[in-house]
Parts: sequence; structure tokens; C-alpha cells
Amino acid sequence: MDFLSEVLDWFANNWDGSAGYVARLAEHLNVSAVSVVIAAGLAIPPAAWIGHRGKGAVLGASLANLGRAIPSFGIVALSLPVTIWLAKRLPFIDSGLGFFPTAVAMVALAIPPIFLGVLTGVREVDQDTVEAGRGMGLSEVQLLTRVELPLASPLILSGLRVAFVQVVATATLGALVAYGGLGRFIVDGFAQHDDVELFAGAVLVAALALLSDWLFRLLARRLPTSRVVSP
Amino acid sequence: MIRFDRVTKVFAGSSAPAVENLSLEIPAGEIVVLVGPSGCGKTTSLKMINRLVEPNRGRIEVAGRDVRSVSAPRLRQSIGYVIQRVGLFPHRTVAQNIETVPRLLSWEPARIRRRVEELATLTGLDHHLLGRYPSQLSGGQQQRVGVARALASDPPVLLMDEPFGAVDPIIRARLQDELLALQARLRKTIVLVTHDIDEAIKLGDRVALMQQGGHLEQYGTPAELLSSPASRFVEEFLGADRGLVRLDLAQVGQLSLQTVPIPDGTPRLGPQHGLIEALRLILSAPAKAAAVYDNDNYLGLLTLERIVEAVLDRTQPIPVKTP
Amino acid sequence: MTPPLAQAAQPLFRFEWVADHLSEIADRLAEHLTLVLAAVGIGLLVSFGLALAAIRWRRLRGVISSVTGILYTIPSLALFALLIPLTGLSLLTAEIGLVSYTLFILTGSILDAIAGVDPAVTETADAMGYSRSRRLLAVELPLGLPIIFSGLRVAAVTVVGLVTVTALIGLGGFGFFILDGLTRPGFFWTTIVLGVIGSVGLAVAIDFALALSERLLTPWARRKAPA
Repeated sequence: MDFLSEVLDWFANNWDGSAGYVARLAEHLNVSAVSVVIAAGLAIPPAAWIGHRGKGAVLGASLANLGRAIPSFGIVALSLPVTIWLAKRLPFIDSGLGFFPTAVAMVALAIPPIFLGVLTGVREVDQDTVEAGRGMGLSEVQLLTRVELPLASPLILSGLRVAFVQVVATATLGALVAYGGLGRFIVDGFAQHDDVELFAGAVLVAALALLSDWLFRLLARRLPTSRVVSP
Repeated sequence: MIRFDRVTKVFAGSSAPAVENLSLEIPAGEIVVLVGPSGCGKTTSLKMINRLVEPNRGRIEVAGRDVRSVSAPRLRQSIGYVIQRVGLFPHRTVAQNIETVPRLLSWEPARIRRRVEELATLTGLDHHLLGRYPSQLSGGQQQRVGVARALASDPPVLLMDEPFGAVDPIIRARLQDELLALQARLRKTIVLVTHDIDEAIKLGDRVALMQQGGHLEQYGTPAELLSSPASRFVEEFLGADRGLVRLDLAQVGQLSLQTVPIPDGTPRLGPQHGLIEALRLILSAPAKAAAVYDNDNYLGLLTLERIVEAVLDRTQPIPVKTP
Repeated sequence: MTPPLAQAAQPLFRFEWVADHLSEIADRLAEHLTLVLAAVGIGLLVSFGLALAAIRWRRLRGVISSVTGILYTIPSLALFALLIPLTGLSLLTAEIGLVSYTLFILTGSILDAIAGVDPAVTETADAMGYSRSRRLLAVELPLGLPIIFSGLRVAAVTVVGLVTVTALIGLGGFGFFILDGLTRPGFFWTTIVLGVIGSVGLAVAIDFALALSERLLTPWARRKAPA
């Protein structure tokens, strides 16, 4: 069909340059990776500790529900006043637009799934195994790092996967707050009534999300099994 | 009433048949117990009657008709089914549970209501429980609802799979007695599966002892099994004290006695007393004997020797209480 | 859309604006609610169909799971954009996208609900003479309602958020206000805040309504005291 050949042409012609899709892909991955890493850094320690203490069931459930109820579009938009305010006061941030609000929104949205994954994963570790470790003389922190977190890794990885895919999706909306990324093609294509660019951008975003999801699942399968084998 | 004709069932994925070439006839109006070690095919055989399991070979007839001649749901609407875990519908009240088959058969509401109340009385269920949900009932009560539900459409056949296994022994004995009382009134054809030989002997008019692969080791009345075990397996399954079990089944009045003079201080017994009770009495009597009287009629002297003779006598099985 | 550089200081939320635009807010609320109810309703029906197909033909399970999973993973904006060349900027585009999103969650919940019913109950249901389809309607679905509702709540709340994205194709419900605030010169925080609060409020209300419905539909789950 004509339309599809136009799309293929677009892919052939638009890959290079600072507005080409390779560059946009790099921007997209950049903000996604940075956000997930920051979110993980913020979420994992408290979630691990609360899970280790065996608490947090209600907190986890509430956080999950909250994360679901707040629309990502809204978070991206709301991060603007925050980042603009911060940009005026902090010298090292030159603009409250673009990367910054996008990243802030993405960190906020990535925290719930990561938190929940770590919390649930650590809570569900077989308590007999933990007791055995305690009996061997492991400190609480050692228990966490050497026993619980490794055993919780499938669920932690699952949380990271959900967060990453969520973040890739949100980065797409970043185009609305002057960021680049692959969302740029969708938003611009829409504004200029260019169906080809719109479609091509959508294909790229969809492919990126699906690929990321798939890679994370592949990684999860490579993990040593979480089944506990009693000595 | 129910006939198995060379029935075989092999489950997918096993090499050995669960039931192999089973032929068995279950007379109408009797309780037939299928008993045997776990895995012997007794439950599979039961489930082939109402087609919860379909045989690979052979046929099964109920009241002369091949069970495959009607659709499975229709067949099952005329056969009652009770299992150990009861399987009451948690989302329906007790009354609604009992109504299940009558509703499926489109009975009029008034008739259904009457029937539910009738069954509640019959099975000893408190009427105020009818509006409750199963989760609010005790184990024994749930069992009763299960039986009531199975009998709701007054089916001629009742299938029971380890029905009393999940309750404690005291309740179990009571439920067994209630079943016997119910049967005395209703005269259903009941096929009951159990792994408990004592239950089989207590409840069964006939007992089918099965081995691995649904092989019938012996099929007969409890007395026949106890007095003439057909094989080593049967003997071992019945247990070493089967002699004593036979004693309990028999009544004093069914033994042939001699009307000899009665020694002083000899206790009296009626003909309906069980032999174990008689034995207990005799062992504490001065002359190790008891005089058997039917009201004022002297029937004879029951001596310890006579009892031992009767227990050991394999050529003359002890007659059993007639139902 | 080129963003302006410095913005005139404005309060985060102007109540007067809201007071002045009540009817427009009501319209958008209605639009949002309609989009959600239609998407979840259609999604539930389609998911039932998919679940029944998965039960009837075991081979289809994997395919159904993969396809619904893919639709779920594709970011909503991209999904809408993929549909535009086909169905234009219309309600249809929005609904197709929104419904696709719910399929994974709802089909999964329905299958889990049916699989989760006590086998003793399904066995006796068969033994009483229920046909497969009557058993499903009379026994498995009612008993599976808690799990189905759990999935419904997740799906509904998620869809409420996704509807905001449809602002970009001319709809949006409360998302309209969010987009409006972003596209005005110098931005306009009030409508953004309004849009977010409206969307979250609606999500909470729908979640609550579903939880209440579940309680009403499952009277047996509440009575637990032994006689």
C-alpha cells in the first residue's frame, strides 16, 4: 500500500542528524535510563528495609493504587511548575523545560513499580531461609544483601521491567514539554498533519517498548532460580 | 440395577489401567461398598457410573439402560452424588444448594419448597439453617446438606465417595447410623466408596474388595468375606481380628443351641444380643455359660465352647443379622 | 510547539477560573466518564470472549496472552498514533486504543477467576447435571467475581488515566484541561491541576463504586461465622 511505502521511505531518509530518529532514540533512552536509575536508587533501599522487617503490605498496596490512579500525562504536565520554579533558583539548571520536567515525571512514575517489586519480593522470601541465615550469624544488613535481595531478584527485576516500560511510555509524552525523544515525531507529525511521521514515530516507540519488555524478561530467565534448595 | 460389563479405564499418561475388565452387578435397593487400598480404582469405578469418568472399553448399565444412551448431564440429574469434601456451592444458601437438581428439572417452586423442608427433616438438619450459607455451618452439618442435596430429586441411585472421611470418628459413627436409618426408609441403590474396611462391613449389604487395577478380589456379603476370605489379600485387608468383627455381626438367637439343664447363677440372654456382648457376659459367669430365653421360652444354653466352635467353623458361616 | 522562555508568575491554582467554567468542566467529566465506561464495558465483553476461547481451545491461550500483552505494553500515545492513519481522529480511535489496553488485565483476571474455583465445587456441579456452559454461568463466574472485580478495578483506574492522553486526538475528558494548560502561551497551571485532580478523583470514585458493587454482588463472602 502507498502509505506503508511512504513510511518505509521515511525510515530510510530520516535516520541521521540531530533531528533524525537515531539521535531521538538516544535522547529517549538517555532520559529513560537516568530516570530508572534514580528511581531505583530512591526506591530500593527503603522498600528493601521495610520488606525485610515484614511490614508494608498496606503501604505497598496503596502505593500501587496511587501510581495507577495518577495519569502519567498529568504528572508530566505538573512537573513543569516544579521544574520551572527550581530552574529559577538553581544555577546549574538552565531550563525548566525539556529534559528536566520529563525526567522528574519519569522518576515519580518509576518509583511505585520498583518499590512494590522490591517490597513484595523481599517480603515473600521464605522466612525459614532467613531464620537459618540469622542463626548462622549473618547481620540484618548481610541477610538483606546476601539472602533476601538475591532471592527476591525475580520480583525486583519484574518491577524494574514494568518501571522501564512505563518510563519509555512517559518519555514519549515528554515531547509535550519541549523534550525531544521519539515522542517528538508523534507530536510534530500530529501538529503538521503528517500522518507518515506520526505513524513512523509510533512504530519506533512501540518497538522500543516491546523490545525493552522482551529484553528484561529474557534477563529474568537468565537469573538463577529463586527456588530455595534446602541444604 | 447397576451393571459393569468388562469395563476398562486407562488414564492418559499411565501405562497401567486404573480399572481393568471390571464386571460387577449391584442389586437394586442395596448398599454396595467398594473398598480397597488407595489407587485400586474404586473411585474411578464409581465415577464411571455417572460418567464423570468415561470408560475406554466395556459398558455400564443403570436400570437396564446403557449410561451412554442419554447425555451426561441428563444422566447425572437422576443420580445423587456425595463426596468427602461435599462441594457445597459457597455462593448459595443451604436451601438453594438442596434445590439445585429440582431447579434444573424445572419443578414448580411450591413443590421445591416442600421437598427442601422434607429433606431437611429427613437428614436431621435444623430448619433455621436453610437460609444460611455453607461457610456458616459445621462439618457435620455440611455433610448432611450434601446428602440432602443428593437426594433432592429422589434419584433411585446414590453414589458416595468417602462421604464421612472428613469428620471426626464420633460424628462419623453417627452419620453412618443415620445413613443406615435413611436407607431403611428409602431403599435406594447406594454405591459407596471407602478405604475403611470397618465402615464397609458396617454399612454394606454387599462388599466389593478391590485390588490395584480395579481387580475384584472378592464380592459378597460382609459375613461371606469375613468367614471365607477368597485370598491372602482379602484376609490381610480384613485384618487379624476379623473373627471378632464376625462375632459382633452375629446374634445369639441364630446359633443352634442345646436345651440342657441350666447351672445355678447362670445369667440370661435374649436372642437379639450380639455375640461379643454374650461373650463378655459368659466370661464373668460362674459356669461360663448363659441361658438364652425368648421372653419366657427357653431356647438353650450358650456355652463358651459353643461360641468358639461357631467362630472357628469355616464350613458353617455364622448367620448375620437380616436387614 | 515552541515553548516560551520566562513565564509570568502565576498561582498554582485559580479558583475563580474553575467557578467560571463549571459547565465546561461538567461536559468534560461526562466525556471522560463515557470514554471510561465504554472502554471497560466493551473490554469486559471482548475479554469474556477471549477467555472462553482460551478455555475451549487450549492452543489459543498462548496466542491470546501474547497479543493482549503486546497491546498492553505499547505506550498509549503510540497506540493511538498507529490507529490514526486507519481510523482518523475520532472516538473510534480512542475507544479501540482504550479497549486494547484493558484486554490483557481483564482476560487474565477472568481466566484466573475461573481456574480458582474449588475443584470439589465444579465436580459436584457436573455431578448434579450442570452442562459446561450452565456451570460456567451459575457456578464459576459468580464464585470468581472477587478476582474479576479485582481486575476490573485495575483496568478501570488505568483507563481513567489513559483517557487523558486522548486529549491529543481531540477528546481527553479531564486531559483536555491538562493539554490546554500546556499549550497556552506561558502555560496555565490552573487547568493542569484541575485536569489531574479531576482524573484522580474520577479514578478513586470509580474504584470505590466497583468495590461497593462487588460487596453487593457477593453476599456469601461476608458471612463467615460458624453456626
